Amino acid sequence: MLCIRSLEHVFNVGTASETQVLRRIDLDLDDGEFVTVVGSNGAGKSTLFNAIAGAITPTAGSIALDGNEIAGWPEHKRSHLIGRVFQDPSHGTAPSLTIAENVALAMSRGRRSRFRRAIGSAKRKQIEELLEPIGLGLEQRLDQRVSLLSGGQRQAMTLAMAAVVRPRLLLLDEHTAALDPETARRVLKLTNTVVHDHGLSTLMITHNMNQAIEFGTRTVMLHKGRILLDLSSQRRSDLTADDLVEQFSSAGAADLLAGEFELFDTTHPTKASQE
Amino acid sequence: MSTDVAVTGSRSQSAPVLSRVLPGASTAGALTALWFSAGGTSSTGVWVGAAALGLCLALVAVGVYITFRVLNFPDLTIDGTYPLGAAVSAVLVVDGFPAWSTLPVAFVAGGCFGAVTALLATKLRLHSLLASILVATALFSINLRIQGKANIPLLSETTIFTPMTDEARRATIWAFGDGAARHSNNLLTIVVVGLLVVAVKLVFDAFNRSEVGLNLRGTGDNPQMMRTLGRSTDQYVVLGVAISNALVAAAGAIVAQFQGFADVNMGFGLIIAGLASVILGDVVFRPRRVSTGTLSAIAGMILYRMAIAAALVIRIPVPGGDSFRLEAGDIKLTTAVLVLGMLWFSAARKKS
Repeated sequence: MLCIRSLEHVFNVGTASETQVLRRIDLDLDDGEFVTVVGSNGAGKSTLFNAIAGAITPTAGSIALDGNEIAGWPEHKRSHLIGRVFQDPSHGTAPSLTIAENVALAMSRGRRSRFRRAIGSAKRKQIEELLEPIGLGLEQRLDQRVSLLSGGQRQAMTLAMAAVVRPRLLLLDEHTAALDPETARRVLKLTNTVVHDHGLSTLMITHNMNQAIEFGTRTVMLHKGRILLDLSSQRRSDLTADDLVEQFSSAGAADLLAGEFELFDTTHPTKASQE
Repeated sequence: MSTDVAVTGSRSQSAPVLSRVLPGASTAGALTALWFSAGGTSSTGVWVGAAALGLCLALVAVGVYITFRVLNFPDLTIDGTYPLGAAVSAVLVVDGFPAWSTLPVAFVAGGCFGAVTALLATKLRLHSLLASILVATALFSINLRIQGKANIPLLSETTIFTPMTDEARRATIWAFGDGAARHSNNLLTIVVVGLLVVAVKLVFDAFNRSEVGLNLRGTGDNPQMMRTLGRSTDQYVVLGVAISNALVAAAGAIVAQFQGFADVNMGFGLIIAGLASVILGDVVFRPRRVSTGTLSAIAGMILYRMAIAAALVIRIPVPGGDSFRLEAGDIKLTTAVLVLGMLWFSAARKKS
């Protein structure tokens, strides 16, 4: 359903600080697949997500979702098909709006807004029913501002908001990295429930190798803008976190050895063609 | 923030603000009535005039509140759309159009130029301040073209207040006695514009509760989230800035009819008055929602005009010598000091 071909992205094109972050990424996702994405800092994970979600326009390549070429769509139009949860809990909710108002905004994602009342009694009931299963008691605090909530509560809420109108693709950008271990575990558990209940096609970035193997059905490792490893479920099952870390460090060591090689790498020129 | 958090537990957040505003407002009203009955003092006219002008400018306060507080889009276009509203209204009134009918025209004209500013800022990615200064500068010439001259007097024209002046005079004398007759025009303005402002405020509150209004508030609060939830934030910035400038232009039309002239220079520094009223409203009433925030800004504008009047009326004693009085030219300095004082006060309160 998601089909990425030769995706390239270069920051600061034509300047001294020009850096290529994505190099000829090819990635296919089947319906209902839950893929974990790992990679060191600067590997291009977040840039890949930004390119899919439309926060940046990639330099070259194509992104197709359900056969629609979405690479040229504005971010808000892609959001009709894509749900997203960010690493920073403050990015996913509007702090000075109430809990009910935030959820109401999520419930009308992809629908035309009108001049009718945003939150009537029927909508209120729907919002309560949506928040109740999360188990944080948010359904009793509908009229409180979101700024009063903790990071974990906000991430749980953002997750519920991303899934309330079933997205074709869910992007989770290290959404538990800013939380304490216990809260992170609970949000991850909720993530698993949400993804399985709705059968969502999901990409999840994580820095935790155990999580990368424990969650999802497939693992992709990015390194320096390329896909280094693509492990399907069978190959993943006899892999431990240590193996993954080893893959990681061997890639890093290879880089150190091939430091000069990178400069003369002609197969993937750093100056992306401007088509 | 710490004080805010402590009291936000209640289900309805409007109650605390209303409970702060209502006793004060009713006491002030009762005292004013008593004062009138007693004949007032020589400066009574100044206070009543300040309150009337403050109400005429109430929509400016609402407009500035929308751009600065709701949308987080600092906008200076109002320095140009305010005289634009006055110009449009004055020209139409002189041409013989009914005075009331010019207000919607001014409203639409202001909205159009607000939209221009927002389009420059969103599509060309200009900073909002730069985009709005450009439009305000262009509007100075446009306003001069509309008026054909720098100043259009309206004293001999039929304004929105003219048809009711006789009744207002009779009602004032009946209520407060012969001595208050000279205030009848200002009192008429307070009633007429007061009703208009209440009507606008009710419509605006209903708009804020609507889906579109919620999108507007969300856009100012977290634009990234709004795009993630499928909203075009650019579209809502345009809508919000247009509404803001439409309200300001309507205020310009009302003030022109109240003061009896439209002048191309009347918008100079208006943004400071608007900001002063928003900050004053924040400091005095501490609103936490948009509905109470706009109400506080309206009250802030009236307080601001009163403060300016006070600065002009009150004699400042100088130790060992004559007392002295501020002049009209000192108003801008007074405003700057007032705004700075308020900002300092609210910063100090946040820290404690």
